[in-house]
Amino acid sequence: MNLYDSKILLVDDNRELAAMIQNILRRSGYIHVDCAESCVEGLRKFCLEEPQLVILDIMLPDGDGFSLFRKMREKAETPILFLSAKDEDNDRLFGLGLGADDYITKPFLSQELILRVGAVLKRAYFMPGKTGPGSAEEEPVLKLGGHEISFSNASVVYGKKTLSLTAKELQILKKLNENRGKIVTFDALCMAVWGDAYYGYENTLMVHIRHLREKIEDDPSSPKWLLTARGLGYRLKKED
Amino acid sequence: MKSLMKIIRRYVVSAAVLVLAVALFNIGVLFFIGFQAVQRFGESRMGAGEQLENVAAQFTVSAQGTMDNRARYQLSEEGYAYLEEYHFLWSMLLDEGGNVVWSWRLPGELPGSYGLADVAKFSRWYLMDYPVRVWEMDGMLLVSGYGKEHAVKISLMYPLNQIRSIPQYLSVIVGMNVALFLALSLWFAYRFYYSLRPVCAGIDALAEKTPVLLAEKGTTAELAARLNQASRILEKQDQKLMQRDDARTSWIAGVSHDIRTPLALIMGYSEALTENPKLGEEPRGQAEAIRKQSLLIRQLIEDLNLTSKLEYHAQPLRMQEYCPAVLLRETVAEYYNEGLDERYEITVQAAHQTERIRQQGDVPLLKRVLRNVIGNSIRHNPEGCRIMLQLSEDMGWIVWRLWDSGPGIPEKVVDALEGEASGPGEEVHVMGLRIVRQIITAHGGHADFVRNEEGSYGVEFVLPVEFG
Repeated sequence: MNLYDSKILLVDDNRELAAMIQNILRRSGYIHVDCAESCVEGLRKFCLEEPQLVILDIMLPDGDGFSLFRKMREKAETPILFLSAKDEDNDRLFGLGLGADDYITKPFLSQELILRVGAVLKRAYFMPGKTGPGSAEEEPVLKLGGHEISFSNASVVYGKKTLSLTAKELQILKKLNENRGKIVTFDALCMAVWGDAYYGYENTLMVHIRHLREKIEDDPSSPKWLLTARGLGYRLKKED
Repeated sequence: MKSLMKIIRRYVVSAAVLVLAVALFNIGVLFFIGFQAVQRFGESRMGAGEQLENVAAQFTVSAQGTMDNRARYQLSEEGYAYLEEYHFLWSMLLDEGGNVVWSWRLPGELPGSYGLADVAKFSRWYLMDYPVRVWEMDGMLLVSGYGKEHAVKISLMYPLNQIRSIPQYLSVIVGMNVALFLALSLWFAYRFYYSLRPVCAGIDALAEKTPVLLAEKGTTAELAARLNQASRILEKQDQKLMQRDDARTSWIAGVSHDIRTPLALIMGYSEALTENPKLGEEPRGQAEAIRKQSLLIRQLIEDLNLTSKLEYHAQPLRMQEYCPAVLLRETVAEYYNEGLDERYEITVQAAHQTERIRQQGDVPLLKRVLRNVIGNSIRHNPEGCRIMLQLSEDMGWIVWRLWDSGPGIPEKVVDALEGEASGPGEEVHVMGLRIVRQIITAHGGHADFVRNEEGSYGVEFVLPVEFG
């Protein structure tokens, strides 16, 4: 089973909006999207259909989404995402405090909704070690051109040559790989490697990056994969 | 205590001025009366002795009548004139035996000769109730009398040792006067201070917007009543203001809440239309315009909500520790990670010493500040630009500077933010920058619009390192 086979239940009393969200999710590939207009209907469908994800409005005609959330959680640990026009910090904090997996405020960008829904589903069912409708296998090998990096062995294979990565280099590379294609700031990298008290390690980080480039780049002086974002941090380039 | 000292000082000074003024006035009046009396007494120019000397000088001794003493002394016309001028009523000349040898207008009741006791008595007191003056003239005695009601004679004699100790008495009296004066001044000052103390406390409480209820008694009863009344009025006004602010904030929050759902539909469908390949170029462009404007409305709603909350202090700051340099890098990295157009470049320069600094602040709000100003630069430079962010530390203050290679913040926007009215027909959208300023102010700092070398405006935020 893949991500898009996941059953999604949308509880919102605004029919037009519900239809639009259903449409957005279907267009992005989710086949099983059902809607409910009230707390009663929502709870009934939740018990009946056992969805993998619930998108929940807070202001419903026969009750509030927070109470419905509690009732649903009593029955199953299904990921629930609040989608509400209530943008007060207090509401958001309350919703997340209850244990919701995310809180989106209206109006939202379609892409944002799709990404968040996908992220919640991946986190809940498609991460290594997670059980559920699908199981994702860990990708232990990272390919950067001709270099193959194995996170489990902490090694880089390049042709017939095998180089080993130090613990710090491995941590840095893992952090960059988790955010591949995005800039990871010096601070986030240092924090990942040295924890909260990372101040003063910026120069050490640069040394580790240099060593890392020597191991994963064809030409470390003009890197193709591990790129510097000047004044900000580093970025592991995505494959073209 | 400070005010007590002030009151005492003022009391003592004003009492001293009062006493001195009264004393000087009295002395002046005394001198004036004395001068007037002397003038009226006809002795303005000379003393009594001098007057009688003048009269005595006008006597001539006649050679005839050696047997009759009366005939031997004669007064010149000038002498008589003197007697008149000096307001004498009568005059006589006594010889060594006490006999009258010359007289002028001598009342009949007066005897013709006087013994030693008589002379001693009248020279000191009165002669038959006539106040007299006596002048010794070549062994003779010139006696001149005033009218009975004309003058009072006072004879003084004091023991010498008492006269000698007058300076001592005077210093003791002056000392006691000063002590009494100070004691009375202090007592009155303290009483005044004591009666004013509750009133002062009431005014202080009013200034701090605390309700006031003073006891309406004593000298300040009326004042206390007025203060109580002012307090009640202020309290009512405060409540009304608070209710109005709450109502306004709730109204804005309510409206923005109600707009959100329809806006979500507009945004969702315009996005769908934009991506619909069946539609032509033009309708897709129109859908894209709707989508962009919807995003702008969303931003405006959020800004309106936040600005009203910040203005009426309905938005509590959620303080946490943060490093300004880290926040700056994180925000800029987010822009890049969200897919910043290649036409834009954001550079960050954080001075080395700022890396160590940890401040207290509401991180999401501060991030919003940065996103607002960076977002403005991007929005107002559709052709692309370079955005520069600089962080430095200056004497306990953190200075954030942002400027771009574009035309910068328009002058009319700066004018509108600085409170200067924009021209007719000009609509200036300053909500975003107003929020920026409100957030920075709520963090104990200030936001300034600084003209850079090229003449365009950039922003500068100055935040205290120690806050909260």
